[in-house]
Amino acid sequence: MNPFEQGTANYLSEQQRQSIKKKHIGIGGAGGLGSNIAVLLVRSGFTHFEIIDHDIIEPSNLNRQHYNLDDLARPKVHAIKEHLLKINPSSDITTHQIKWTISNANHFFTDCDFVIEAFDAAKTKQLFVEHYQTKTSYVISGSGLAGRSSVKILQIKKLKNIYIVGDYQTAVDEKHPPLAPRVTQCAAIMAGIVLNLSLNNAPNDP
Amino acid sequence: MEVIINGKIKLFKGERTLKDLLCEVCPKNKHLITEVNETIVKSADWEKTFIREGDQIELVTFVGGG
Repeated sequence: MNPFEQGTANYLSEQQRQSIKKKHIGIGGAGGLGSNIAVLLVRSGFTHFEIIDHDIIEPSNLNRQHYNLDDLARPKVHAIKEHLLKINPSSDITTHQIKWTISNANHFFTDCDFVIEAFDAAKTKQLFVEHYQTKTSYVISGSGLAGRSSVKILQIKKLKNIYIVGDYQTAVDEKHPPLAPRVTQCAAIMAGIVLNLSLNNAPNDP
Repeated sequence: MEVIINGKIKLFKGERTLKDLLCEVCPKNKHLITEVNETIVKSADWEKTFIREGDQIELVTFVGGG
């Protein structure tokens, strides 16, 4: 065990840690939701990740995404992999710097227990969730996380094996920019669902 | 015809596909995930899915931001 793993042993039993380590996590999008979810899941003890994102890091990302000034102009998937390995060097992280489309969807997340939707565009969210719903145990998605935390309470809606977190209304626009507290709140709820399902608890149990 | 949408009873007259129903219920947003009687219906199948009396429909809207 490395020091990080020794540390997590203070909080989770051997059985719980083994259960978490077996899970394969697929993340579509390494922006506000995806980068923060990945960090939260690594800190929770997950070690197997497959992350897809075509983008590079821009100054406008730094207000909410898990990147810093040194990461500017780097591919998001390279930077997030580096950050995750700094938390737990034993992590096994596969990355793809490519744009996800419904045409290449079958190339990714073929052995994932959880597939997480963390893209920007509503249409991509819909196609992604529809596609992986039949191909994995659980799909976790975010919808409606823009603006300030006072806008609307984030909820969890479950349809079959799909969990969708958000207020389902507040899209990113001029009145509702993507801001760190609400984006990371949504990311934290999504990561919490993955953790709880992995530990065989109800998704919204404490 | 009486159907339940997101837990609320709604009344409709005449035959409808799921696509027709979504146009009436959510005219502004076409990006949704739909479940009819606990089965996910993909958007490609909305037009050929006919709504029946007593159907239980769950709709969740996708909006931009991630």
